[in-house]
Amino acid sequence: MKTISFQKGSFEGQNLGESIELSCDVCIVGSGPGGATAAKIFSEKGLSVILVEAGPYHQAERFRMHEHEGYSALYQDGGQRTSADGAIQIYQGACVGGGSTVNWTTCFRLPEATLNDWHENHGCKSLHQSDLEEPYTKVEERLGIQTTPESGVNANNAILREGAHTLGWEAARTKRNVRGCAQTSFCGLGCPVDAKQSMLVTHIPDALEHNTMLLSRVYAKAFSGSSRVEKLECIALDASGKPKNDIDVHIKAKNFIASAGAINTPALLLRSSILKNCRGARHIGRRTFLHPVVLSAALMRTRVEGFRGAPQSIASHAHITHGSEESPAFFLEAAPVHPALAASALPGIDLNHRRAMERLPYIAGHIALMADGFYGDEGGHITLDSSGRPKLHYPMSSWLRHGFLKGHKALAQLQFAAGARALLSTHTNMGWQRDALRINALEVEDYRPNSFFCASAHQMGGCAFGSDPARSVVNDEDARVYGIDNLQVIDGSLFPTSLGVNPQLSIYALATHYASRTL
Amino acid sequence: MKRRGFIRWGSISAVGLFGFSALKKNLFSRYTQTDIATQDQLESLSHGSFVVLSAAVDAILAPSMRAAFPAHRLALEIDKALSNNSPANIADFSKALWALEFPLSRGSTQKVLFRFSSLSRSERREVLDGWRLHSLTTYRQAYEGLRKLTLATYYARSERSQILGYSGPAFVKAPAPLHKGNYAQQSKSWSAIGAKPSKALINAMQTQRPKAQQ
Ligand SMILES: Cc1cc2nc3c(=O)[nH]c(=O)nc-3n(C[C@H](O)[C@H](O)[C@H](O)COP(=O)(O)OP(=O)(O)OC[C@H]3O[C@@H](n4cnc5c(N)ncnc54)[C@H](O)[C@@H]3O)c2cc1C
Repeated sequence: MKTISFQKGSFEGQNLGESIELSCDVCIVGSGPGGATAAKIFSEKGLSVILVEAGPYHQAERFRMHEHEGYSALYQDGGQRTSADGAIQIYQGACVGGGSTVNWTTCFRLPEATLNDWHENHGCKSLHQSDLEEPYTKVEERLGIQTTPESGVNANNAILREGAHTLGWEAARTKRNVRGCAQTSFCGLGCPVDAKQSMLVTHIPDALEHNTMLLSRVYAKAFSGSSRVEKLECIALDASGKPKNDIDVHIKAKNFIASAGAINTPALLLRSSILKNCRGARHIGRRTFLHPVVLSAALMRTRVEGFRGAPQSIASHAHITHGSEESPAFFLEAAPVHPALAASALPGIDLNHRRAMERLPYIAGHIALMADGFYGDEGGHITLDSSGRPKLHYPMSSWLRHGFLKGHKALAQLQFAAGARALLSTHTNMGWQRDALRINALEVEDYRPNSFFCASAHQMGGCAFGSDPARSVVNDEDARVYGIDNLQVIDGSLFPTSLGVNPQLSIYALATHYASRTL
Repeated sequence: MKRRGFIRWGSISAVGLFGFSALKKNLFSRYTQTDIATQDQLESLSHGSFVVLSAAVDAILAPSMRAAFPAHRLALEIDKALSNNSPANIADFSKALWALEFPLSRGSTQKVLFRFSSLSRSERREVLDGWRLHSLTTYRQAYEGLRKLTLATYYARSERSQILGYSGPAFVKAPAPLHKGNYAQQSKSWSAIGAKPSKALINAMQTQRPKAQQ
């Protein structure tokens, strides 16, 4: 193995022809909101940072707005990731910039009620809302986070707002991290005009300008060492993301950060035998949350063209306080109606499915996102398959199914209030509904896994932080893994519950907070 | 859970194979269009699984879709898309296809002497419909997996979706970034820092060089 000296700049694993060893001050796995933000801050402090990313380094000119290219290149498992029983479609970024490169740009601060719940029920004593004020200000400024102008609300989102307001429910324009949005609607396939202020065009170039070496197409297998992590063992990938088995990349560092995102960070820790004896080992991968989504597709009288304009600009949190022991709270948002996305969500095959697709321009798509992890809910957990890849086991508890039921009923009410002619709940045994009768007659039993469309774009938890090492993997004081001094977790896997709002801004803020106060 | 799923498919397909071992492959094979794909064109599946996949895709696509794009060609695209998955997931997908192919494992009482790929299209649709509403989640999972992958792969190509009134990409070639920043990063070469570049890169550079010189 050849020793190579640290050199700032970006390097691509697929072009590497021999095994190498590198050294630096801080080695970070994952270039999404957590990892990129940490890289920026540590390198601005003058530390040498190596940022390891399994996905490709694609930039605007590669974002050609084609569904057949984008999902396979930029998403985990080429866009085919699901929960272990196939019941939940998992959309998760797998490229430089992580989820920020492909997300829909909605920004919310961490709700006070969620943080209070962490204080009361999850032993998070050290983190306070006031700690995040300065990080929010910095991030909102750098990422151009601002309320969407009225001109940025497309018909799909306007229908969501109209339905909510007709029913007297709160619904308002959201903030987005964009500058000069061209309304292409293709946020989910990478912004072709760099209007989206993702990590790709903000914190990563900031980091590269300082002292960061970005290694794309390099997959982190495991941390190794005895009581401290001594090195990160990686393997180079080829251009299509397959392992080049003979080419290893080993990285020695003083400090290591796991920022591979929920599902993947727990998997990385589970693969690392050094973590087996850490104090929170048995919690690794536990309490993984998804904001599981049910969708309702409404057939409108006029063209909606949900494949045009910003995918999300309106949200309704009217039901976010309605959680209980019986069912989760939820919030309502719009979902873009691009053909491949719609095709997998709409039920049926053959002519049934085709007829629904032929109405695509008239379809409005709205989702109810469940706030999982509250009222005793444990969410899902991660194990490894035979090749060391993560498997997410996420049971559809009765509590969750009650939430799906309520979510679907709320969506139906909203869509009919906004003038829908008919709607599809996505149940495999139900066609178009011209009124809410059958939707209102739905029961919890109708939510058996794989009998309706369920998805997640917000993976959270699996390495919960807190002040009590008996209950948490990571210390909420400094994001260090309990028992391993030089290993931190900085990404969405820190959350002990879901958030009840879209997570990216909370991840930027937490990453800023922890990276600023450590090392 | 994953392991349980694996074991379930394992035992279901074992029953199917046992029950079917006496039947000769060619005797019942009606679905022949798939001969067009050869094993070396396939990235993920064996030729046998590919034949079953093509037969399933043919039953999932509506007639107008098949007329616009033949099922076995879409099956080739699906085989390619599957290659992004982990080997364990691809193996599971293959097992589901084999369970579909063999009468006893596909869990239906109709046409018990026939392979799925030898059934008529309407019979294949019936079998899939049985899986859609099956009481075992494993069958519903396989149905949903097949269905989503087939339909998403079909509509992912904008030339096949435009007929629906889909406008496709906002522009053919992206204009220059609207927001100028300092972010256009060129990746550096490994050789500049003393590491050997990959053979693929060296080959690509060698083939480019003569072209550039011409
Ligand atoms: C389609 C979509 C739409 C979304 N919309 C919104 C939205 O509008 N608003 C919002 O707030 N949130 C949204 N999200 C969610 C948001 O993007 C994520 O919550 C956020 O990106 C998570 O950040 P992270 O740093 O925790 O991890 P990630 O963004 O997942 O980044 C982790 C990175 O680590 C890499 N990685 C993983 N394992 C390894 C390994 N072993 N070796 C090397 N690298 C590895 C991954 O490839 C990935 O790039 C959306 C997500 C998706 C997919």
